[in-house]
Amino acid sequence: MPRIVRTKVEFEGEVRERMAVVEEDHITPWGSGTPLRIVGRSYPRTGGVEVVTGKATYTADVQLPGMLYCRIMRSPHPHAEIASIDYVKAESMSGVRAVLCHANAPGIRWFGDSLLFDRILRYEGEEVAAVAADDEEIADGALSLIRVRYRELPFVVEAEEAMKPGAVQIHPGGNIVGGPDGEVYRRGNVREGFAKADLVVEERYETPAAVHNCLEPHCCVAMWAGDELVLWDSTQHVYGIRNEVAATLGLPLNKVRVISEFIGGGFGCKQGVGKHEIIAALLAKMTGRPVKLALSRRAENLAGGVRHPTIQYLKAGVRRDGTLMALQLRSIANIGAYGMGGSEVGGPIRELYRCPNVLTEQIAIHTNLGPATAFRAPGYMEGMYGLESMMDQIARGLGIDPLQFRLLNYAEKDPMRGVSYSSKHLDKAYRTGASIIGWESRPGGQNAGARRRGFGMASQVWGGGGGPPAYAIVRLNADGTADVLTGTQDIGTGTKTVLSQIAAEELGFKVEDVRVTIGDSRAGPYAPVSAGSMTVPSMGPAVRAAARSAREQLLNLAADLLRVLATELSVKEGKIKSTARPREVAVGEITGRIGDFMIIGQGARGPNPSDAKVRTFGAQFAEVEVDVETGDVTVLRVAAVHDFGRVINPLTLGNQVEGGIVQGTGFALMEERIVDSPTGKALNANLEAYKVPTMLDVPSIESHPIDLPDEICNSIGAKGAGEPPIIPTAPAIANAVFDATGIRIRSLPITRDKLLEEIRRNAAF
Amino acid sequence: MRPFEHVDATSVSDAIALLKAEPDGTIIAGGTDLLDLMKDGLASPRVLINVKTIDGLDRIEADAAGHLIIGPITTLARLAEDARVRQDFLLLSEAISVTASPQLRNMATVAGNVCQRPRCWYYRGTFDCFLKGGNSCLAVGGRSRDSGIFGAAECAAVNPSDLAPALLALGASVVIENAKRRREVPLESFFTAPQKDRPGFTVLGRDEMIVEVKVPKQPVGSRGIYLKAMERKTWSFAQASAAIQLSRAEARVTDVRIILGGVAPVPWRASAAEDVLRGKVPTGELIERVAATATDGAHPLGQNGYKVKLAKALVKRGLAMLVDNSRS
Repeated sequence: MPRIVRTKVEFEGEVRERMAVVEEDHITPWGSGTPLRIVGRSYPRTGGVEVVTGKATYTADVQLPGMLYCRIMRSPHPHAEIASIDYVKAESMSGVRAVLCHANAPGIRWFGDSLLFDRILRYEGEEVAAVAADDEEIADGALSLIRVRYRELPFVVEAEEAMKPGAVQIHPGGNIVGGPDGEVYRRGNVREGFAKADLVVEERYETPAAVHNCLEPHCCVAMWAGDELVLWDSTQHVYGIRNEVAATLGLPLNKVRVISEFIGGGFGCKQGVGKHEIIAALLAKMTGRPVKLALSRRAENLAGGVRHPTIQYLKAGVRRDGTLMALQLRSIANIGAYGMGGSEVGGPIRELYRCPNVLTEQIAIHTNLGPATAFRAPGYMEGMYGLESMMDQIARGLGIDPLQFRLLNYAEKDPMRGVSYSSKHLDKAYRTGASIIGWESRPGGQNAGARRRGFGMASQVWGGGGGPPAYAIVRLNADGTADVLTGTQDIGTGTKTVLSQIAAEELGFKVEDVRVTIGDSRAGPYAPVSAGSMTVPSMGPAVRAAARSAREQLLNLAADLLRVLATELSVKEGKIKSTARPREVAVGEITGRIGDFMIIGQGARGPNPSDAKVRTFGAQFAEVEVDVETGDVTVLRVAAVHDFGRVINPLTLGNQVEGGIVQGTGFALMEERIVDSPTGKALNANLEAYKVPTMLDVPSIESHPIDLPDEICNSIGAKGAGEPPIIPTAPAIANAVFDATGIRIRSLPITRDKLLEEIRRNAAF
Repeated sequence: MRPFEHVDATSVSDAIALLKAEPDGTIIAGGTDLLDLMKDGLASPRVLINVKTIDGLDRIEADAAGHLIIGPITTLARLAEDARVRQDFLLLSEAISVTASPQLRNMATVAGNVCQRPRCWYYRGTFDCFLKGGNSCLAVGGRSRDSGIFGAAECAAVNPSDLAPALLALGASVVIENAKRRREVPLESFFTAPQKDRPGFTVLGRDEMIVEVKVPKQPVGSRGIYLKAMERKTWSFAQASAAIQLSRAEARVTDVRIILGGVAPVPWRASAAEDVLRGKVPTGELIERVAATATDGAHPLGQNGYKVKLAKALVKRGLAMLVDNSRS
């Protein structure tokens, strides 16, 4: 019988207590001694061939009879009031089926007191009007016929400007989210800590606004079937979208179905509902026809979400022997007009090192910019850059090797609550990474000549433990194949592949005899958002539990039919074996005997351990070459050693590590949304001027996951790997650039102009 | 985007007649710049005059004197791979090899590349920029990281071409035709900095067409190099570039051309630097001096001071490599 428990679930640095309905029986975790045949081996991606041959159906590929296309008119101003809007001409244009704007849209509440279509526009790119037409060109033409008179309002785009008294107010509550010191965490007493320190360093760091720029922009197709809404959507959470859309439109939950089979990247910007899903649903209702709405690349850059830029004032105190005495952070996040809040920039400062006195203040500021959303390891990536740059600086200041300095302040227990970790192998990650990159034998400091080599390293800490609620169903077919059904989705990480391995392992089936259905809120039970590195550690145990239930039922049936004891039976590679008899029986022979009577196993993710902290850890080491005459930075190698618990599929895991390092390299060296302060408008809202790394910018990557099961965190021993690999890349590169040049750039990205300017100012080289 | 007509021209004179007859007409060849301009509302032609249907406009040949004649719609990819170019005008292949991406090089044409519009984000974006009739250049007091350090009188946008500096370093000219006449213009006087009374980027009239690009035969042993600094390793416009062609007799430099890209509204010839080198034996010390002179007269804006140091470094490195190479 299922029961309800309370459990702590961590999501992107925030711990929430949740009620969870879980299966009664505890499942013994797969330990390090458990012999596994399928889990732990590389399998190519399910659907991989479809993706690379263009056969996969992404949301933008959905074509329905009579479907209309929607285009959005967006605010050209960072802050303005719509004085008047005239859409008569647009509406009467041939091929135009509907126009929506504040004048005729339902008054749907969106953010605070603002509406879905608001008279006040709070950033360049905010939705002014939407047109549904027979094709995109007609819709575009109609947009150009809409006449809007704007009353321009004063605006503010810089966070520290927006904090000042008398600054332009973006929302009635003021620009500072929460109190003036934001979200505060305190342990010990930092003042005393600094007083006891031999060296106190204070620095200011900046990280840029980075745009997700998923290969597939936000896109949805809305279709009404009677009073039911079917929504194809590129999303990280089919159930979340179902719930939010139903609530927004006042529909029962069982009348909204969300489908998302293939997703071209999310990285955090597709976690929750956007205006586009609601607009498409409204237009589909108005016209009685399906409506497709895809954001343009420009809209994606302006309105599709962004990693919020941060300013970090960081102060650290340390004893001469290298003991960290105090850490203090005041971080300011520019979350734009509609960002939900700041991310956990203080996370690494609070929990990476054994430091008795810590104070973090995380401040989030509204400005007249597009909405900040989660972006792969939100907060931790930004905070780790500041912290690990600072640690490198202090270690060098004390004459201690940067790696040694980190080991000196190693946290054996969680410094926040004093509890044990479910598992932690960061020390091993440090040693392995150092050995791969040749840390001990690296050339010391700056060498002569124009092209200088440098080495740097940085650490990683992050959640990734997942948790309930997460459910799965396993059905056995008469021919001995199995279907796994769950409401999760694959945002490009290989969820289907990994879940089929886990189900096949537990069932004793061949992996090709297991089919996984995901990405449809009506086809499978609830699954959490694919974010916070939680899909594998949440869904894996749920699938294992469902598979175990199915296997037990199968063996009971087999025992009955074969007239043996169920405890004598086991399943391996699709065959049932008995310890008592030599003959093997194919699963299909047993299930075939009951025909269309079905074995259905249900499984739920159990609660998290109450007395242990579940974390992922890791370290990356970078070797760079800096040309001190031209300012060229080349990342030559990155050694990545992370501890994600058990590795389910080395191939798909390797993809995650590589992808994280590629994105981290972009963040370190080139990615930045640039806003023109005098006009409040973005200058590089496209893929030409906003630079993402190309293959030539990508270093040689050596990934060696620790691969030791965490036997406490959950029944499969695995933690999430989506976010950890991006966290230490930028500080490792920044520290390597310092090692090569003696120049420390405290504002990402480390671009040629900053580097050459610093070289000139220091009259170096 | 404004609806447009697409007309296939049958000959150069046909194309020119169409240009003259249709004031809102424009030539399309590769379209790699034009289509973006149209999508962004920076160009809204009523008629696109397709010149890809004209025979012989993509030729690459040598005339009797050994000068290289390049048809205007020759793609960058074909030009870079041409055996004669690789043999005698390697500088062109080098410049093209770091231009855009293979896909773009397969479409983009020589004349189109030479005539491409600036990439300045104020120009390409929705800003009231000088080039679009605004009062002043927004980059001058604004985000000027990518702007020019030379000749930025009224507009600080830079000429983005890689091929143009290389062609200039080789002393190339363009042959231009209109309904009445045919003229040859040295590339050095082809490019113009946009000004209030003359907003264009070149001397090409609106009813004129480039019919060929001419590259003079280089002295025996003359060698060139193209160095380009970008925001990432590839597929990016130049933050600064240097095209250098060097001719020597014995140890002495008989001739040199140093053209900087990405630093001025036109490909920027560093004449003073050339003068320092011409007639001399290029020692390391002299090369340092040449490089230092290459940015004489630079007036960096708020955020592009780095281009001065960068341009010097590229000139120094380029010359050093050329001298080293010819020694070995």
